[in-house]
Amino acid sequence: MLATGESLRKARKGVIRVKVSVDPRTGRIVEANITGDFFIYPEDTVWILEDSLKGSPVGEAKNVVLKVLENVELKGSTTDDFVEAVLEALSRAGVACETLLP
Amino acid sequence: MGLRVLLHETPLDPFMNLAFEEAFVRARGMELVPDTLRIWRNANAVVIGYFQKAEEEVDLEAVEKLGAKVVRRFTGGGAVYHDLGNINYALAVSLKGLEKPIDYAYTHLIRGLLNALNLVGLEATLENVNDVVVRGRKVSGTAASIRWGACFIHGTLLVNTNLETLSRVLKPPREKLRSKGVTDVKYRVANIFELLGFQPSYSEIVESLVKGFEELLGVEAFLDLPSREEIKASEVLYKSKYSRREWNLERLPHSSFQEVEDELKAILRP
Repeated sequence: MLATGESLRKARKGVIRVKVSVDPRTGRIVEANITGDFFIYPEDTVWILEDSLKGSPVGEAKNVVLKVLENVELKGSTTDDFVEAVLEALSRAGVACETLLP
Repeated sequence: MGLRVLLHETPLDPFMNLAFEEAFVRARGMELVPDTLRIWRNANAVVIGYFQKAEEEVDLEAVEKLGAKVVRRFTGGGAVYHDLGNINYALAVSLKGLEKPIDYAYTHLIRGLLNALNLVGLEATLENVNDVVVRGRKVSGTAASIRWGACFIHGTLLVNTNLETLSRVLKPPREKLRSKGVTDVKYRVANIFELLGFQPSYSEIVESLVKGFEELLGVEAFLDLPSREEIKASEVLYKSKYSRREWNLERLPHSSFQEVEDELKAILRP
């Protein structure tokens, strides 16, 4: 069974929503979804970020986000907003993980 | 070469309107057409951003009841409601010589709209990256993109939109949210009809937009019709992307529509 977590981060402009699911046995991210009304360039970085998070150990998530967003241009939000949104979703999944583990 | 102006629109078919939006930007990027300003309307549609999931932003039941359509655009940002009281502008220009094209769009090109508002008698300012504000009320939402070889910006202009319908179809997430981030800046929206105290005609708005962008770019505008390539490209985009629920309601990247790219390659050749 997978543990899921969701977060919603208000940036200076717009909202970043993150939904993750984590496998509690492996501690790896199985699915990551990032949606919202932010502005990021190049736009398709959003899907690169999702794909990069998939399969990563939960503890690596912050580095993955920082690395993928290294050279992007954000308008009205910051890299930190994305890091926080992902970490908060993961921490909610983490709480769910504890209840799933024997 | 001056500024080409297109008034091409399909208000009863929002899918085609957005398909054409992509088509003319691609045509500009391929150097098939000169810098182009397009002015257009939808009769009854919710237009959502590239990164949004329809069900998260839109009250789909209310949309259905209204007989409105939900359609995705290729730029980021939030969901907007379009009726004939809302006038959209879209500008695609050459990327050549632009070192920071995104900034160029958000700080320079957007001023064409500010000029237009001044021409109709409203003092508009630019706030919080890309909110166009008159007397504390947001009258326009803007989104820019650098894609397919062009520098692009488009936006809405609330002239006399039914704001009641607008608030019925768009979910208002922010207020309900438990905020942990920075306080976001949110302006209440208003129609310029309300701010002016009278209803400007469609042609007055069109003229002001054309003049506003002429002034900004320092070129003369000329009215044109869509090219054969733009129409053909818009038909492909309509059929395989903009009329499909996968594009409009899910949240798939352009790369999920590879057959579109293949077909467009044959149509949009330099």
